[in-house]
Amino acid sequence: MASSSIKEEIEKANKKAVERMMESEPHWVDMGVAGKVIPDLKGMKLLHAGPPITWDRVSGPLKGALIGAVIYEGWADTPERAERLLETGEVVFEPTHPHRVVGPMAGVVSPSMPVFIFYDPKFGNYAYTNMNEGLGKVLRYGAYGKEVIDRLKWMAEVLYPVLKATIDEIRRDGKPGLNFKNIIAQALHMGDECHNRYVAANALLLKEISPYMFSTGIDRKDVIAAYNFIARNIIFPLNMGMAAAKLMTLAAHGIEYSTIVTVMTRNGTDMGIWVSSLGEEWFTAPAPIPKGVWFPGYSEKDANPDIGDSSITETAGFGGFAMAAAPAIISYVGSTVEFAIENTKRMYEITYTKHKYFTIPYLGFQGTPTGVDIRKVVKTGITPTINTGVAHKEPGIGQVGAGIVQFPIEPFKVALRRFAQKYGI
Amino acid sequence: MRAELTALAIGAEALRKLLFHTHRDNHVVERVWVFRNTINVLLRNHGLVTITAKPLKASFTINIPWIEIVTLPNGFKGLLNPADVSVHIILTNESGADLSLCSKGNELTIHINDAVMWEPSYSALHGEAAFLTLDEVLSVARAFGYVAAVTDSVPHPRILLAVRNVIKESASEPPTPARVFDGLLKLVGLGHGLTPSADDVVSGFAATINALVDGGFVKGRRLSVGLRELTSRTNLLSAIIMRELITLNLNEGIDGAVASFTRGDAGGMLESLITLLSLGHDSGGSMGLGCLIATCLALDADPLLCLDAFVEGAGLSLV
Repeated sequence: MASSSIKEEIEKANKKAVERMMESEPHWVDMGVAGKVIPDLKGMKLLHAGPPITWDRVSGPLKGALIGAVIYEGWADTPERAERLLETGEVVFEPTHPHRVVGPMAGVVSPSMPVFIFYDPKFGNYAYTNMNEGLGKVLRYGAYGKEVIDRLKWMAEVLYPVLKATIDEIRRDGKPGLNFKNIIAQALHMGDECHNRYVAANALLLKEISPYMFSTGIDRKDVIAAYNFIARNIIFPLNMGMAAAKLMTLAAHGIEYSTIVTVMTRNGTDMGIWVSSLGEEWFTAPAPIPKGVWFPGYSEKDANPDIGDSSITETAGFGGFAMAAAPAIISYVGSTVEFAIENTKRMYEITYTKHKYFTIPYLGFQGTPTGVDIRKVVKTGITPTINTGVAHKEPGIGQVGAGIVQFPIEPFKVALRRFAQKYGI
Repeated sequence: MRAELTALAIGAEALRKLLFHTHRDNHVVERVWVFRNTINVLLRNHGLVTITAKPLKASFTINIPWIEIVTLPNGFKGLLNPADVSVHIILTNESGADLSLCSKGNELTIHINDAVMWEPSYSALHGEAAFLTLDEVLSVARAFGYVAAVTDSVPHPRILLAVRNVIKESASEPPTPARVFDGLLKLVGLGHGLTPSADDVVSGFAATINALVDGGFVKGRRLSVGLRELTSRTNLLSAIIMRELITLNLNEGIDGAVASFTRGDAGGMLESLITLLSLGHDSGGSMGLGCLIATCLALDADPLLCLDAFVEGAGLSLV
């Protein structure tokens, strides 16, 4: 194919991919139990964030979360027995993304965990995510103590039925579900970037669902407990934002000739990407350690390399790419407002376009940088830079800080090489 | 002793990388050194900041702990207005301790404290050669041509044609590195950019041959050319960069490709060449092409094969 035709094909494909990413209409439509609704999550199988990994290379926080999930499922009654099941392969663990699932940090989803069901009526895709447990000692950061397991059980027994009844009420009201793209778009105008800061989004979420929540007919004590849990957990909508982002990027996935990145994720050992035209092939490199702000008593030496599916938000054009919209995030991730603005501007250099619907007031309502193009990453040497939570490197401890992380360039180079193999030679 | 040097130009690519990557304390400048009238900044994890001729298009924020901005044209500390930034800088080196960058035509001054004067070091390749086969090199050339095309890094077809003609002429007798080099030198100065494309091809070619000669993988002597000869054909800055590349003082970009070639690692060679693509506009594509032509010669094969494979991969026709 002539050089001009190659570029035309890629341009056409990228335009289509990013257009679909922006036009996707992710809705929260239902709740369900993971093992019943997620394709191919059967038997003693767990899902985890990031690219595939073997037990001998699993990082501390992911190890802790997998152990916790085995205990939660009742497959083992002690951490040692749980570890043995994972080590011997009796309990299988696979990456979330091929199952259309996303989860923050360790991102572990087990068959009996309740999950949000998201649907994109525009392109007909489904995506799933677990419920956010809050900050501190939680499963997603690798903690698996009694309080962690007890909280997960409460979430399944109390929070899940309330949310299930709430979404049923919303649909009964004639709505297709809760349009989460609208919530993200509004929250970006209210000081959130929708990766690490969801303060505004949480208020918007509660504003939307409260009337339905309180008319479910469920025991008022449980409804109030559920309401309080969400209201006090300022990061509660993160998982929902991630499921929305997964649907946006799913819409952009599988376009022949497209060089747009449709997955960026980490498992605490490696980071990996998918590219629209290259199917579900993983391109990986060692995950970097975030640079950040540490909780009292912790420092960089306690930090685990970057972990979580949450960078799906940046893949879809918000999160760290929209940091200029969220100056208040700076105190959490330890940087400067100037850096936040600069980072958003810098990301324009490696993305295909500016988002049609996600805009940043400070930048004159310019759209957020959307659609990471592997060609631009390789050509400029600039790699996606995001903000993130930081887990302790040992299992069982939890979150120790938050910070900024810049992805390595290697996966983008290898992906471009593979692209050349597929289409060029 | 105070030395005052006048640098020629710092382009947007260099400025952007310098400023952006030094924003954060985990992207620190490791070494700053002055070589002739150029400034070279080595960033941890991000390699060497080089100099290009692209015009500035966006504003830049400076936040480097050990670079103090003394005054700025727009009076806002830390913010550069691109319209006010001249492409000229004056570089002052005082006893190897502090450096100052000043823009010519405006008031920008940046002090760099505790700068380390550093001469790039070069270590020759060693070990047993397990060269790639010709087929493998051609496959790398095709893939590299394709990747260069999709990243807009392919030199203009006029340059490619000129390179082709030179190689063809020098192949009337059995082509040797010296003969091809002599032919390529005639093209110096051809193309656009602060380092014209042909200069980059020549640099990539000669750096590769010289690295192979140093490692004992190719018989003969190093290729060399005087600065005076180069400056008679191209601009001073490009001539200096060419000379430093050819003498392997600044060969970071080519090293990986040559090492992979001698190890028989096709994937590694392609990946190293792809890394070059972040240099300048088409500088990386042109240098990579020069490198590939040289590896063909090292295999005693017709270097035109490599050029044609690159062109084919790029989807171009030189007819």
